[in-house]
Formats: sequence, structure tokens, C-alpha cells
Amino acid sequence: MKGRRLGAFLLVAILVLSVAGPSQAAISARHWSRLGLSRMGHHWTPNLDKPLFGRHLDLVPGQTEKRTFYVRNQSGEQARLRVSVNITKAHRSLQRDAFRVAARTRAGWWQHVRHTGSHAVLWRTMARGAVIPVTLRVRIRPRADNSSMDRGLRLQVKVRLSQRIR
Amino acid sequence: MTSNLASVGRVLASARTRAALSLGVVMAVGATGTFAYWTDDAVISGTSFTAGTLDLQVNNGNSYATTTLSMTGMVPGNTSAEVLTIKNNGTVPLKYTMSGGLTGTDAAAYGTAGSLLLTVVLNGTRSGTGNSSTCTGGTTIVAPVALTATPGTAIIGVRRPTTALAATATESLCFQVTLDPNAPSSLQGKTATATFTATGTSDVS
Repeated sequence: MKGRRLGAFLLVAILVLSVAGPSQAAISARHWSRLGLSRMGHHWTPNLDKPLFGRHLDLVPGQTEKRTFYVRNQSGEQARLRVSVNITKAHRSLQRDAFRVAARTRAGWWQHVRHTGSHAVLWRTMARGAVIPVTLRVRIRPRADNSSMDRGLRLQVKVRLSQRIR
Repeated sequence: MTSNLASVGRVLASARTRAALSLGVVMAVGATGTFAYWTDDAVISGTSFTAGTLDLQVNNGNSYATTTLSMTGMVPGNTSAEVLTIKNNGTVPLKYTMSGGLTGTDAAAYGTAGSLLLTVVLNGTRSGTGNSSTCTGGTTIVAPVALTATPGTAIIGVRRPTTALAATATESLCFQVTLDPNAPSSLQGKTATATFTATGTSDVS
């Protein structure tokens, strides 16, 4: 009877350890960020400490500003990338068709943001170790009239790397 | 019925069944662990974008009326001059053009004769008084040009300055009006008003 109990205990213990095993590995993997960001694609950090376009930028009709940053999948496995643009304080400057905000990766199509709030502009699967450039573009239409003057918006970018569930 | 319940109870009470059930619990926990997934987020702090303001002013105002350039009882060869300050009162660099011409009852007479001549001098200073004041020094940017009876006639047709006028920057223009020494006598006693319009643009290309 004692031997049977011991056997049952060992079986349960082995099962628990086998389930807990990957979790232990995952915990140790958290020592570095799964998501790497870089302005130039050389030095990688978990966050870009400064805004892409600076804290404040004045634009005039016809002016276009672009900035590119790089995302690296450092998770050690395939993952899903999602880049969102959050626009606030737009005061209808987007609806008035004065400001144009868009994002793309490499030479892909520009994904336009036409309303305030958070919008996913890029989502794709990233291979282990893959690097993807993300370019953001902000501009005022060349034909924007004086009513666009002094209008503005605030732009924030959120990058999320998620484990890919098959 | 009772015997069936008793047999179920016996089965549940057996060590083997309990081990299997506990294994199921463990496997259920394991399965839940398999479906959990990780995410890693980064927020790139925000930027405020603002459409710049464009505000071109003359002598610190959007319109400016002056009598300094006026000449009463002028005769051929008389001149008058005044220094005007062009200011970028906006938040973005600008360039500007200027148009102007004559209005009033006798504008056509002066326009046809081409006898009122305008000269614009960058950074020129006014010297002299009354009907003999002139612009001295500086750089002439508009050589003597006859004012027409069409106020929209281009006077500075090419956007200036070459290097855009930065926000809050100013430049000084000296305007000089001359009654052509060869003006016809038919203009005697006639009056016209000169009007100039400076138009700023954010297109600094």
C-alpha cells in the first residue's frame, strides 16, 4: 500500500514538474525584453526614450514629416507584431482633411488614420529574430486653407509583440 | 438503483480512480498553461503636431494707412518716402509677394501716363522732408516702376526674402514715390491713392 502511494506521488510529482518546466523557462526568458526597438536598427532597447518627431512640431501646408523606427522580435520564437497609433487632441483637424497620418512597413501601402483614438496600422507575423522597419508619416495637405492654421493633434505609438498561438 | 449508486461510490472511492481524477486536474492545469500567451508592449511617447500660424504684418498691423507718403501740390520731380516694417508675426517661416496700384477718381489718368513711380529699397532710410524726402542707403529691390490703375499689379512678384523670414523676424522696406519729371501737364490738379498689399505664404521653396 505504501509503495503504491509512493508510486502515485512520484507520478503526480513528475507530471507537475513536466507542466511547470516550460513555465520556469519562460520566467528565465523574461530577463530581457522580447521586444526590441531602435531608431537606426543598430542599438536595441525595450523603449524609445524620446518621441520620434520630438515633443512638438509645427507644420505648414505641403510639409511632410517621416520617421522610421525598427522593431525586433527577441522572443526566441515566432510572434505577432501589432503597431497602433493613438491620436488625441485632434480637434477635428483630421476630419477637416488638413492633417494626414499614415504608417507603413518597408515599401508597403500606407495605412491611413482618419479619426481620433487608437488604430492598429500594422499587424503581421514576425519570425524569430526578425527586424521590421516601421515608418510614420504626418503631413498637412498642400491645399489646406487658413482654417487649418493653429490646429493640431497629439500622436502616440504603441508597439505590441504577442506570442503566436497556432 | 441503490446497487448502481453503491457501485459508483465504490468506483469513486478506489485509489486508481482518485489518481486518475487528480491526473485530470493536473492535465487541466497544464492545458490552461499551454493556452496562456505572453505579450510585450512598448509605448513611444507622443508628439504634438500643430499647424503653424502665418501672420504677416506691416508696421505691426494687418492694415496700415499712412499720409507720410502723401504729396500735396506735387510737381514733376517731387518725391516722398516712408519706411515700412514687414514682420512675420506667425510661428513658421514665410515669404511674401507684394502687389499694388492706384485707386480713386484720377487713378486711370496717372496709370495711363505712367507718371507715378515706385521704388522699394531694402533697409533704406528716409531722408529729407515733405515732397523731397527720399530713400537712401540699402538695396533697391524694386527699381522705379510706374504704378497702374490696377491695384493687383505685381510689384514684388517673386517671393522674398530669398532666405525665408523667420518667425518674429522683420525686414525694413523704404517706399519712395516719385512724380516723373516728364509727367504731362494734364495731371495737374489730379489725385490718386496708392494701395499696396503684401501677401505671405508658408511655401518657402
